[in-house]
Amino acid sequence: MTEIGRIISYALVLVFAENILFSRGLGSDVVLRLSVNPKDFFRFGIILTTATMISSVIGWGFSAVVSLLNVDIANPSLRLLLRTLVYLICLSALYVAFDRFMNKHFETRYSRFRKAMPIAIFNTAVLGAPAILARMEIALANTANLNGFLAALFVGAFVSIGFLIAVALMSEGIKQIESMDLPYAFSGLPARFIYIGLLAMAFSAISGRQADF
Amino acid sequence: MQNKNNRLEEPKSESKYRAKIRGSMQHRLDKYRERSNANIERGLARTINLKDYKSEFLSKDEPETVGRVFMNGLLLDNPVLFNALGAVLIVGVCSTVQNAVLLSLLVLVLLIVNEFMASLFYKNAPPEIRLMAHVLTAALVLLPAGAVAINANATALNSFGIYLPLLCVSGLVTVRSEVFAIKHTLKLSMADALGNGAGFAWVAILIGAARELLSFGSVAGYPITGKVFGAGINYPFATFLMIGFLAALLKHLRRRHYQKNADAQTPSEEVQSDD
Repeated sequence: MTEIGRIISYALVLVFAENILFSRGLGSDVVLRLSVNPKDFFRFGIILTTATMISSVIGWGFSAVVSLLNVDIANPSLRLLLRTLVYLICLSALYVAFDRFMNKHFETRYSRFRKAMPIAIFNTAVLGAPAILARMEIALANTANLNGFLAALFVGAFVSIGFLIAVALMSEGIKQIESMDLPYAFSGLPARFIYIGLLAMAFSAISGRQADF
Repeated sequence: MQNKNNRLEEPKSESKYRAKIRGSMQHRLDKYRERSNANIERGLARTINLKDYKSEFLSKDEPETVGRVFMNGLLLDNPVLFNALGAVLIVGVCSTVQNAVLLSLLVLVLLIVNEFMASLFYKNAPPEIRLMAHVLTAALVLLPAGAVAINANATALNSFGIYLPLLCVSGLVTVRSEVFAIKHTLKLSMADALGNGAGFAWVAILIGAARELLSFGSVAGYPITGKVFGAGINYPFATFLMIGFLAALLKHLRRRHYQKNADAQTPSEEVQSDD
């Protein structure tokens, strides 16, 4: 039961306290520019969330392969850059293969999603999910007995759920903002920035952080 | 049924009525495609609610010059404040002026190289592949640029954390290459890269200075006051709020600038007396 409790608490942390959008700002460049059209939001949000989850699992697989190769680079930032480059090349190859396959066999259905796919795959949220997994791997293995593929799936799933909740909140809020009679200077993007800031403040309160004012 | 060129197939024999129906469907299909492409060109996501300031203030006939493109990137169409590009980098990295300066230099290098490549080589690539090409180009450039920056200041660059590799998928680099560089000449693309790089830099340095002053009471390492608000100001929410208010201020100033120019250009009506 203790392990189940820890798993649940980690899940809640990933969804709320360490929400990928509100706690780290990842994916904000895409979410702030989202249209409030419900069809667009639904399609794009689902694709983005799925891509984030899959990216976490691919990132785990990629880390396992890299650790087998035993590449030793002293500086952590340089190591991270090199891994990111190779990871992006793998992700690009997978995307091209997926795009060709879907376009060949499911052209009609895929055409509705095709134009949104590149933005949904190559953005900060999708690339940030493996990084979050890398930071939580050891804690998950030691305290919740989740390691390897299970940890990747767990982190990917709950980071994506947190992101979907964040996108839903942003979409609803943007819809309300667009229908309000705001002063000219605050209409449009400034109001969206302030709204996302207020939501991030609320989420940081959920995490129990206190600013020492 | 559509053939390979996405045109409706003409059957071998059909009545005039069916031909008319097929013609109108083709017309609708073409219009739909045109609208979709226009939406994509507007910013890669359907940003219906982010109005392009040019449609609001400028006439369509005004030519794009190097100076105008540079000023657009720097102030009038700032990538961070008016297009939400690069905000994630400012939120994650710019907690001090030093970090902001280093980040701005890296972004400038990436913008210049990416827009150069996009303007010269990526124009004819299919749109679905182009974004991937921009990301890979940025990653290939970031590796040596990052290595040089690490040699210069390893501590600062290590503090970037997971945000350093996110430079290559940041909207600032990929969207500017896709929306501007693909459709313009090399000269204008370089002006756009410099303008947007400078525009990002001043916002990043301003936010970095504000965060450093409020968190640590210093600016660029020089102590100014004692500790004021504490580490709480370094959370993402504070940065989003700062960017929001800065964007509102710049939007207000931009409108005043264009209103003044419009007033200056309209001739005043002189009342002629009958004496």
